[in-house]
Amino acid sequence: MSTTHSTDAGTGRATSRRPARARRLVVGLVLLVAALGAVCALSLAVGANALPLSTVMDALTSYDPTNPDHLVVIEKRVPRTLVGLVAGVALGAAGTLMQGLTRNPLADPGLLGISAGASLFVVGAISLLGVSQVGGYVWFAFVGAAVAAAVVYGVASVGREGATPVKLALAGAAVTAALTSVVTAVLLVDRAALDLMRFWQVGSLAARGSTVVWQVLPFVVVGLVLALALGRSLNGLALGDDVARGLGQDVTRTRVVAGVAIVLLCGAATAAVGPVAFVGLVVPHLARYVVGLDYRWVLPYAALAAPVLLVGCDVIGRVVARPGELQVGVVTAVVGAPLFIALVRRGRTVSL
Amino acid sequence: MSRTITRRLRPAALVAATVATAFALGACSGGSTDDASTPADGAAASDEAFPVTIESALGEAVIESKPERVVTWGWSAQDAVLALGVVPVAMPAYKYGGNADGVLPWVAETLDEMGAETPTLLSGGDTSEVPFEEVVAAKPDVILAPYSGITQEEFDKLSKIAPVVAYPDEPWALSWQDQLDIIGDALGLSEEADALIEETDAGIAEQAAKFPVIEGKSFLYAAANTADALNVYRAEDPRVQVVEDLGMTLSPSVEDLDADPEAGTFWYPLSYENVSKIDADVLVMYFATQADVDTFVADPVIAAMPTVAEGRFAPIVGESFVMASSAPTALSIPWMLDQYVPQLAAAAEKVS
Repeated sequence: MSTTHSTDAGTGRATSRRPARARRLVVGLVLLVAALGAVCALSLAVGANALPLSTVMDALTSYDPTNPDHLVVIEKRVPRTLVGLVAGVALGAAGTLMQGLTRNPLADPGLLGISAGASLFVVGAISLLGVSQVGGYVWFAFVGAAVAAAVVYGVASVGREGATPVKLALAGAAVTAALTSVVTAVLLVDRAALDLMRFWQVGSLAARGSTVVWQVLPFVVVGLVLALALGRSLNGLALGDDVARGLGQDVTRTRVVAGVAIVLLCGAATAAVGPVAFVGLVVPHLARYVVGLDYRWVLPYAALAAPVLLVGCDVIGRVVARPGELQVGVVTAVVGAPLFIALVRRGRTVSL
Repeated sequence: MSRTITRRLRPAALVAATVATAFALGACSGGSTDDASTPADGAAASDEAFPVTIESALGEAVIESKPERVVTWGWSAQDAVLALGVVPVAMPAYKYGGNADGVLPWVAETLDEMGAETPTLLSGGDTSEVPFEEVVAAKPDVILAPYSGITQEEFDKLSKIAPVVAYPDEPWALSWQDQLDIIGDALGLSEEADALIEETDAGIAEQAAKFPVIEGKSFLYAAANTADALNVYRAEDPRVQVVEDLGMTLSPSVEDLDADPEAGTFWYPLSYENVSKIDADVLVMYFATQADVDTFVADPVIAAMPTVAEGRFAPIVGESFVMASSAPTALSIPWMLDQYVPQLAAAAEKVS
């Protein structure tokens, strides 16, 4: 599967090898689901308190709220795992959409100003409105993400060609720089905000609670459905706007729908766990490395592989720095960077 | 001179005191140097005490003559200086717990009583970033930072401005008594320092006697500054020592649950997964606001802790109160004690 898919992926043209390939890819998806299950099981089993597996099973099957060990599993590890799962799916799908939409292999939630927008609104909520709980940040992060995305798209659309990938990237970088400087200015002046922000800003699955999961889940579901429906259109876009139009695609509609999905997914993920680096960047490359360039396959692979990476990194973060723990945002950067370098050195992956 | 309450001079502090004694006594010729716990007796309050050399973990401070212009840095050095009747020319501003200018309430009261102007307020009191230019502008004869976290580099840089008295042992680990001793030596007011310690100890003993219920009860001192983890204060922290001075005993859990006792820091993180392992009569914690307390106890794992569930929980609420009990001094202890001890007693009364 090294040479054939570059031709069959872009157009979705049937080839004689397609059934076998599809079967292989389905098997791959099943394996990914299994890996995700395994990582989630680890996330439930591993923590600062070395609970025996039987206790963890008991907590899940016959929960006793008066047993402190059961409380740890149900009130700490389960929400944490769910947050990682939901945010991971969102980051993986959003990263893939962004890279496809902008035809920029370096696209991730940081690129289009989305993380910066969310950060600015969260900082405003902490500093001006006195919001001090992570659950309270969610809506601000969301609105910030949407506003930033709208501004970036608006700025990039100015001019004759509309929002081309290059203009999107430039506008995103400019908006990110502007917003980040405001965030920094507020944090320099407001010590209390800095303390709260410091924790959110690195990205963490800890202390999020199950309410956050329910708050962001609907957005992730809608975003994911939109994303998965866009596979064929993204394949068209990958050939360039003109070819896509030539194939009868509505390029503008694709852009708008993808943009909405990105805001929903990135906003939800950033709201839930803070700006987590590298997951949205690395995972789509990883997925392309395995399945080729067909977005109809890249999207589900990335959406499943990202939570494996995110939840896995969280488990690592819980184990390596005992008695404390490393925030997942730190671990994803440490794990993600070498992974990304390895992928880039293989050469094939950045050629979108 | 006898003290009713056990003192905790650690080896390095003893060395410092011994050296200081040797110098002080050398200056007034003769006398024995074997009584290290009462440094510079007989030489106090006079220029004869100088020159004095005070050793610290970062280097020595050679103070040639009685300092006129005193600059304080870190926590609570200004309290000790003021308690000894000297007004510093500059001291750190504390946004946390201070008034609009950053002056702590008991410091403001003392300045009022002394009819003194407010000293120059140094920036960085909350971030521990040394404002070198502001220190230079204060033209100090001596810089007192025995309870601070200054680095070797900062010490060397500050030493070019004036002699620097740093911590005897580890950063941020010094009992208020040791701090008074060291500062008394540096200012040539050793006898006054000893008298103040006795006076303050007597006040502590008097308050404790009013609430016999706290006698012998075990406690654990913690803060909720990290997500999903308690910051547990180790035995060397002054806030812990004041509660011990009141007659309570530090729970063995503090040592048992300490995964890294050699870390050299005054606190360690304890994951919420492990809070059920805490065995203490009373849980003492500080919070900036009541809302923070409510958030803390709303966590199901925390609510299930026996100390919290049974009301054996003493939340210390309010920035100034927190600062007074967290950085106890000869000024702040009398300021907060009649509020502090009843709260500890209320929690101790719930012990069955």
